[in-house]
Amino acid sequence: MPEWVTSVRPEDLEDVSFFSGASLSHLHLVLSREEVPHTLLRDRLALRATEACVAFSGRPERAGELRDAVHLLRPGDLPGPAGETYLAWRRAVERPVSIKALGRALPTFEPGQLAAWFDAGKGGPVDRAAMVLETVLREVPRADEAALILADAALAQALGWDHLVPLLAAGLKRADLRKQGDDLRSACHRGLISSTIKAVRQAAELARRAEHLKAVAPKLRAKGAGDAVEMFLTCDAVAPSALPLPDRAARRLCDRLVDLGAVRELTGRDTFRLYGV
Amino acid sequence: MAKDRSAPELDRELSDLPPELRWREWMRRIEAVLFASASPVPREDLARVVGQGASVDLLVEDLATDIEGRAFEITQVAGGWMFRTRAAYAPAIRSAGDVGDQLLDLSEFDAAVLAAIAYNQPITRDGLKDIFGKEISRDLIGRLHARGLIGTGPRSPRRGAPYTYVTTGQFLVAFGFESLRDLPDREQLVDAGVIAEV
Repeated sequence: MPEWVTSVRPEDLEDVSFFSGASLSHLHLVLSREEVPHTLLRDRLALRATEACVAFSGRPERAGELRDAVHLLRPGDLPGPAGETYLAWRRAVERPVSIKALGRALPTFEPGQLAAWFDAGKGGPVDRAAMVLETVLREVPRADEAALILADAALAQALGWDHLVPLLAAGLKRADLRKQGDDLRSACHRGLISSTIKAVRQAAELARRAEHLKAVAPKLRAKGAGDAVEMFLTCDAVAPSALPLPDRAARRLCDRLVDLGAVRELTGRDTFRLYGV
Repeated sequence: MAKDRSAPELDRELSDLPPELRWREWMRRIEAVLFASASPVPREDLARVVGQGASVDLLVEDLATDIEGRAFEITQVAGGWMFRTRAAYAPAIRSAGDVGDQLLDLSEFDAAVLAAIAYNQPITRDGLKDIFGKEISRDLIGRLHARGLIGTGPRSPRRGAPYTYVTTGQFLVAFGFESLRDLPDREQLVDAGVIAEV
């Protein structure tokens, strides 16, 4: 990202929209690069978006607890409030943007309703997203999560991206959600500048790490190692028990990947570990 | 909800009726389903008894207008709708005596534990012990479970992978919340002296 974008603190609406356009355009180019692990990037940005949403709702969970909520969930158990938010974001980024995919992420809303909100915006991409956000929050004041998912989906569609890339939530502040009209548009532009800069950095870092993982993959001789590497290249975090290997072999594979510097252990615990690129 | 969907096919579209009567009939069906159900009925289930393109939300809205002035109302709770008596009639219902102990026959301490779970979920029994300074019995947890107010959440990453507890949709229904964000604000409770500052 050029320094003239990252170093400024634009003030009025005209300036913020110029700089947010510049940063989105840069992100657009980065996202069209093949070496960027797209699924992994979206999964990680979904985690950031969840962190923001959870904080908006006044809950204490951070990335670590959110990962635990989802990865330590057994079939039939309830994910809890923060886990539910994370699952919604993960579902929202998993499949290409469509009303059906949004309905899957936000099952408590009627698809017709979601479609109406999704189309509520007009004008340029950011204006569209801001209008979606405003419309949803006006009609259902506490539906931050739905509003932000739909706004990001509208933004992605307006920019011609197949998938939702979570950007708005991580860039906005709690007070921004109560803004309207030009104030909200300005807040969205501002939020997008900071979150696209972070997303571009994240993409570059993940591309580098993914490349390293692919480079060491041939050294792994365990059966199923190929599939395991594929999982690491698409998921934010992986529990060894989720890998397609016997327990002990899975743990050994994870240790080996850590030794090779290809993945990191994310929890800092001795047990119930989670690994990710 | 009803598992038996093989029973004689329900005519959902009602294409032989004029539009106005069709709409009425759909409203009545929703009314019947809500009346027959003790728990909130999610939108998907209601959508199955009306025509393909009909908006459940609009039907429910019309139904709500229809029953204005009655002693009960439709409320949206926990991702579905249900009939509920209006709060104004609570004293009358209580004096009638018969319905006192259906759902929430909770002791003060049970309720305190439930509140602790609601605010701190997901939380393990050990976590509750830290809050209350004493062991929380399995019986108490079992009572909350049996009333459907709590369920098991993700395992806690500790030795033995203990269960955590989280509140359920039924919890929201019982206390008339639409989401957990309707819980009284923690800061306000601290200011009012109801709970201690953490």
